Amino acid sequence: MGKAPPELMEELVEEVLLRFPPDDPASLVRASLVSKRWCRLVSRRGFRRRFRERHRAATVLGVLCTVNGDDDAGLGNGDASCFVPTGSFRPRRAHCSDCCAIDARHGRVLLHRPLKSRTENPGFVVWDPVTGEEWEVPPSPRCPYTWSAALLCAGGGDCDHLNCRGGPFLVVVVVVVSVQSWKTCVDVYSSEANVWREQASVQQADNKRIDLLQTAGVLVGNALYFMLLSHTEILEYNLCTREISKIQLPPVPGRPNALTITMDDQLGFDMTHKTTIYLWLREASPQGEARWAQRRVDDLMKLLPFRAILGGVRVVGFMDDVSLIFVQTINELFAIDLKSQHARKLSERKVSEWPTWDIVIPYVSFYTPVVGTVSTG
Amino acid sequence: MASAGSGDEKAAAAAMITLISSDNEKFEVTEATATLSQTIRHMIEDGCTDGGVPLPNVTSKILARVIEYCKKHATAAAGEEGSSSSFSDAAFLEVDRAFLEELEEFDDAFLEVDRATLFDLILAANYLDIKGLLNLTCQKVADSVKGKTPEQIREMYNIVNDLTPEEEAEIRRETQWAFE
Repeated sequence: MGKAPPELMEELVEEVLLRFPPDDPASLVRASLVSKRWCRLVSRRGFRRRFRERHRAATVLGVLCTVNGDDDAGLGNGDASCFVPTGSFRPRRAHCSDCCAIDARHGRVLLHRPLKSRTENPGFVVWDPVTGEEWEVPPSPRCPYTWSAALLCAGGGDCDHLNCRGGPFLVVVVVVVSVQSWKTCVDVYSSEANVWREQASVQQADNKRIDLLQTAGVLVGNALYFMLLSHTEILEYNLCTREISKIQLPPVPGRPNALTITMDDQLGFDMTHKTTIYLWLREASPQGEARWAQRRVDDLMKLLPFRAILGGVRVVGFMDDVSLIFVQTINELFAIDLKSQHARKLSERKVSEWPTWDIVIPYVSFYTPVVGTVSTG
Repeated sequence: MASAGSGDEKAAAAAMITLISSDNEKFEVTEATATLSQTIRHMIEDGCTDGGVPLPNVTSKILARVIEYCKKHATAAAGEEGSSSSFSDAAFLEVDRAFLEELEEFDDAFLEVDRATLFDLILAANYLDIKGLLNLTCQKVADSVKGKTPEQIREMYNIVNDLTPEEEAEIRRETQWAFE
């Protein structure tokens, strides 16, 4: 019995710590308090890299919620986004310094400063909720009628995105501007060059304005996709060919909600009709043409308590690749795991505080402790 | 040289290796069992196993357990290779699943040891370079500490807390959420 376990070499302690579950970041933090050695081990860059390489799939650590406020100026400005945790992880600050989240990718969040007038150009901040780092982005070069934006790793397809969160990034902004006629332009900010550059610009042939919905873009292969305000079409921007095009969504009984990427890198969108959620995917037909097909169907009646559905529900986030959806009821936000059919309440607010639906952007990342204060003695 | 390759393989599988523990106990094992250890595999390849393989870092008590693990997993590996031709696919899948379940049960029972033995097994698995055993034992330790407080982990594994109170307070302040 009482024999003390032999001491493990540092590399073996690391082998143990590498096997901690990525969806419970608190356990790694508690391990960092065991001793100086354990603390140093989990704080190392090398450990961070090996932890990511071992687990590969990052976890949803939280969601960035923005109340889609209706301000007097009609600028669509919401209140500052707040970080709503889905597990034990909490960022150092839950509010995003008066900014609204518009996209999140590879561990960082793209925030925009709410516009004060129609003549202002959108300004951005990139934020890492795990390390607390922030990168200020100069205001984008155009004053848009409508716009949307995405945050990308500058490494593109050559990066495995396991450890690029501190590296160079790109902010891709699609703007619709009026210069004699309606134009859709793509401006890209590179953090390395610290400049904005126009990458594409198309004059709408029919002089019809494209109205972009201000939600996160979806990256599938080399193309970014943005939902349009009509919810019947999406905008495609090919990052390689720099072509801008519109894609018609199929006629469906409900309103297409948000775009999503599947586990096999397919573009999809979710649509809710009554209490049923449908997932549609863009697939290649045998002739090689892209076509839309309805894939999975889930019944919210089976996933949520009946009282929660009574006042109406809306799917505010759909992550097909991890089988997770976010559903907003009249005063609660739920995360539902479609595999286990388990629903978890993330937050609740008073019904009176319920202005419009929220924008919900999932924050997917790895967490390993960043402890810089422990001496190596 | 005579007939089929399978005959040679059988002969190779039956070749015996002698492992010698730190307390000088000798263990006769088949080459198939021994080569689950990359360290021993390399020694065999280099032809340095005549007269037995001394393992000065592993006691007889631990070596016996390691051999038990290797025997079971070597049989499983051989079973998987051998059965594929003699069963239809569906039947093979059935067998495969039964095999895996049995192996899982074996692993679970194998890990029913005290902490000191578990650590000795990790050290042996590392020294002998047995990937499966290292993974199994390290995962067991990780599972056993993941819900515990720092104090409980220190007590379980006899670790001295050398963090200064200031350092500890600093970490706790920065990551308060992990202790709620």
